[in-house]
Amino acid sequence: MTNFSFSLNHHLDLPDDVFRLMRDQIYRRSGIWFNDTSKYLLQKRLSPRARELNFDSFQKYFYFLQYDPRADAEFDQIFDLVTTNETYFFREPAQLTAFIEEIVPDLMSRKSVKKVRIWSAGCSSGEEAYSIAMLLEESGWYDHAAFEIFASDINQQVLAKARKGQYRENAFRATQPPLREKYFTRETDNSWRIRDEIRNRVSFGRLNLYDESRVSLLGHLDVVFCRNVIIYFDDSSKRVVVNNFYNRLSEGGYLLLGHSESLISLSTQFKLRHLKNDMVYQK
Amino acid sequence: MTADPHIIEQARSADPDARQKAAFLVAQSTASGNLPLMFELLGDKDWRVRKTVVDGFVRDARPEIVEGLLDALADSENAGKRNSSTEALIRIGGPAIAPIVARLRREQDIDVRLSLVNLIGDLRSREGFEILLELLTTEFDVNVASSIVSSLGKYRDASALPHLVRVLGEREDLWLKFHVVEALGEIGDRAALPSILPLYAEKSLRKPVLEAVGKIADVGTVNFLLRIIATDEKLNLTALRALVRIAEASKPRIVEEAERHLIQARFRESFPREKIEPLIDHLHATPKREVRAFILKFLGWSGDERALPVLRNYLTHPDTAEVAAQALIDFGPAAVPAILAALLNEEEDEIIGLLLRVVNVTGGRDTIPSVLPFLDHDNPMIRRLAIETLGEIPDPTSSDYLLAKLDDPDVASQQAAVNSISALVAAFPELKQEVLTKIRRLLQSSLTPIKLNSLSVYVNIQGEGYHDELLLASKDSDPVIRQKAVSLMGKFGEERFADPLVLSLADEATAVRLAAINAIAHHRPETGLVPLISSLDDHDIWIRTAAAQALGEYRHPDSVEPLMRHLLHDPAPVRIAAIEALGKSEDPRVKPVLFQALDESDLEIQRAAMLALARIPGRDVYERLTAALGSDDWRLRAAAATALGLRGDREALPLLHRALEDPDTYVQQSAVLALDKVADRSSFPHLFKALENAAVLDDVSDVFVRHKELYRDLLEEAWRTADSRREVVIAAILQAMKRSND
Repeated sequence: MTNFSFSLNHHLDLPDDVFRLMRDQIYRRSGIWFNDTSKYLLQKRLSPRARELNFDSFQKYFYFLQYDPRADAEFDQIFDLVTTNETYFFREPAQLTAFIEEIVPDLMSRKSVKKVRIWSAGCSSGEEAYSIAMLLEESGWYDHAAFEIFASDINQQVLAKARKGQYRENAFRATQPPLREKYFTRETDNSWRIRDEIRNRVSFGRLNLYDESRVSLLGHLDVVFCRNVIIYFDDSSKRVVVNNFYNRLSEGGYLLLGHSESLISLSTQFKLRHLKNDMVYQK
Repeated sequence: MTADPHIIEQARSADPDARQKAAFLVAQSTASGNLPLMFELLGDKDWRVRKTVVDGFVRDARPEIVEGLLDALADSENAGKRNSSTEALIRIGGPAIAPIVARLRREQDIDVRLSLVNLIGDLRSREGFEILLELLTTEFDVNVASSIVSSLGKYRDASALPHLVRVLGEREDLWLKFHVVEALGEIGDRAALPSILPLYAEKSLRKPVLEAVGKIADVGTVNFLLRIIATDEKLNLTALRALVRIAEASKPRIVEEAERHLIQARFRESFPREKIEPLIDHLHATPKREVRAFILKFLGWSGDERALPVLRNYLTHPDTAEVAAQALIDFGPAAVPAILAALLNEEEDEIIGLLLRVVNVTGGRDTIPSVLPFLDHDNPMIRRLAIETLGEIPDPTSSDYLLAKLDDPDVASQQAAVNSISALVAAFPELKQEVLTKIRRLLQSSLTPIKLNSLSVYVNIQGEGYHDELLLASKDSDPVIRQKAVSLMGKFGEERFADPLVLSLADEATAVRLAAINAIAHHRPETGLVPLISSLDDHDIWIRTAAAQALGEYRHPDSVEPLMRHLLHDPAPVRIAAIEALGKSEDPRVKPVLFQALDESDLEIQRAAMLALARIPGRDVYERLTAALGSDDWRLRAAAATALGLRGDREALPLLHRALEDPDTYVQQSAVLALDKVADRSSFPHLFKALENAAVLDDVSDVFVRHKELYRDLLEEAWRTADSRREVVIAAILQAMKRSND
């Protein structure tokens, strides 16, 4: 009689060489880099997908990604599965204050056409973009000018969530209750849905920051928010992404990175500006 | 000749953008005439200007530039210039080392000597190491001497130990001793401990002593740290941090688990209970994420009930959720009631998931009632975790709940249910009949998931008549059921399944044909050969690939010609599978086509060909493989090493020994595994040296244990004279050898 051991571990084995090859494939297409310690993450997240496609080994899955004409579409699935999406409303408030109280006034003082174009690059499930819209509303800036907020991510699933605009408690850890009451409605399942007047101020789309030709579709922008996104790239792909931002920004436009990120050793194209509330980069 | 006057004017503009443009222009050509201006701009107040010049110097780092950069280190007025020179020299690297060493020998200015010594620490070289040792005995300035010591620490070379320990003994200066202790910590050799530990008596040296102890990470210092933690009036965070470092230091797998448990147990025994509250207070007060993480870890180790609500609270913070969950696991079964209480009230999915994972590891039968409600949670991840948890906790009463999950809307949850039920029946054989009765009813369901998963359970627990059920299912109208049945048949080496499997090769559904091929590859029924060869002409590329792979398992001469034909004309995945199969045939006819494949541009094809040639005899094959050890691509070098190992050519041993030092870790690993296959005593010194390489440490340890009859005496001899870093590892390997005997 054959004996079976019943493993409760679903994951396919991911040999080191196959991990490196798949990592390189993901990197070439998106600039996202998985270091050696992330092997288990990739294994865990892609194993079910490989099985779903009837592959009984990662080696076969790798060959599919390498040679099959359907690989492009498959990589879209992979990006959805491997990108980390944790964020919340009003993250890094000092920088948001700098945006509202210093950057926007500066842009307004310079522009003869009263329209400010903002890009939330790597928006995940939309909290950052909606935060920007809420702050603009709170500060009354919408009465003075038109603001266009475009939010993008490579992950289709989080974009769907962003469009839906429905959030759980974790997303509000930095949100004052009165603000939440004002801009969200409570749903029967205890989640919170953003009100339409804010939701309609943001457009969402799927973009790979690494893909210059796609990024150029956005035209010229006045402010780029890209916070805690490029940390997932290695230096070489960071330079590509930052260069793409530079090319999209209008003269004097602003680039806002996460508080632990900087352009040192990446680019000398931007000027570092010490604002009252935070440090930002300017073209 | 000087730089263009326009550029010079631009370089002196008040506008930093203009100066940067000037820097960019002169940096394009580092002609001698441009150098004075470049060195001037190297001291510009705008960092972008300086960086542009540095980039130019690095691009063309000829001797006069290196000398100029060294001169710039002496500019006492301009810190920006000195920093930029340092950056440039570091980036230039190797070519700068000899000039730096030469300058250091003659330089009198203390500040410049300091910079040069720091550079030698950053640009590690044999030459630099030797001059640092030389200067250690003669340097009179305490700041420079301290920098020499710090730079030696960066080398992490244990041969500096006696020199550093001598300094500790001979010099009184506490500032210098501080740096020596730090450097000894960086080197990480436990031989330094007898010199370091007594220095704890000196108050100003306590912090570096504790940090060094943490970095050396010797489990023998745990008691020393615990004593300090217990007796210090206030909470000693440095000692606590050192303890965590020891627990988390990377060690060979054979000692890791045992040491971690030892440290946790000792902590639990000796940490004073009166310090739990201050620890918790500090946890709440500290803004540092790293400190929060290790305090949470300690609270888990403490096993003190006051820690439980705190750990529970920190589960809700994204920054600390995972650490808090692990701490609850470390806490042990006593944490379970608190976890269950938390589960009852928790609403956030992420936290529920973490709590279920903790229960999965630590929970017993009494946790089951608390887990059951989550079987119907909205979130499929939660449902799957709940199902898996029931599978982990051995209790036969869970079986009905698990059977009800065979048609969960989430496929992963269904699979978890199948596995969990199967595991329960394996653990409780008395359950089998009862489960079988229910499964037989479920098999009649018209719903695909129920039928599919019931079939899986039925077969897994080998219910009576399962063969007939499988045969029936292989004829089901639903291709998903047929595919499952065929896959399950593949698990058994039974003759009665041979014909149905072969017939399934003609199934109209691709997934069924694929499953049949995989199953046939496993069984290799005689009747499978010809249909598999026909499957090489299937319209689906992945069927053709699988068919080629399956023929590799047959190794039948009749399959060689068809495989060689497909090697010529098919897309890459099929060709790779064909190459693998031809290699397995060991048929001399295949050599020319495999050689041809070695010359293809596709690296995966080259690699497959190399591995396939492992099984083909011939001097010409040996030579091609050994040549490939010098390939630019890591995959090919690794494949060559693997192939040579499989061939068992002892002649290749010296090359495999050299491959242990390949710059690529995967090639190193492949070399170790090859030396496992061609086990020989001559490999000992090379494998022994490889024990210092964390990337292959575990693999080398396994090789030694597997070939203990070859290596034991050599290891015992080596242990007698080994440095203390390797002593621990060797002892663990010898222990494992002994255990494998028992």
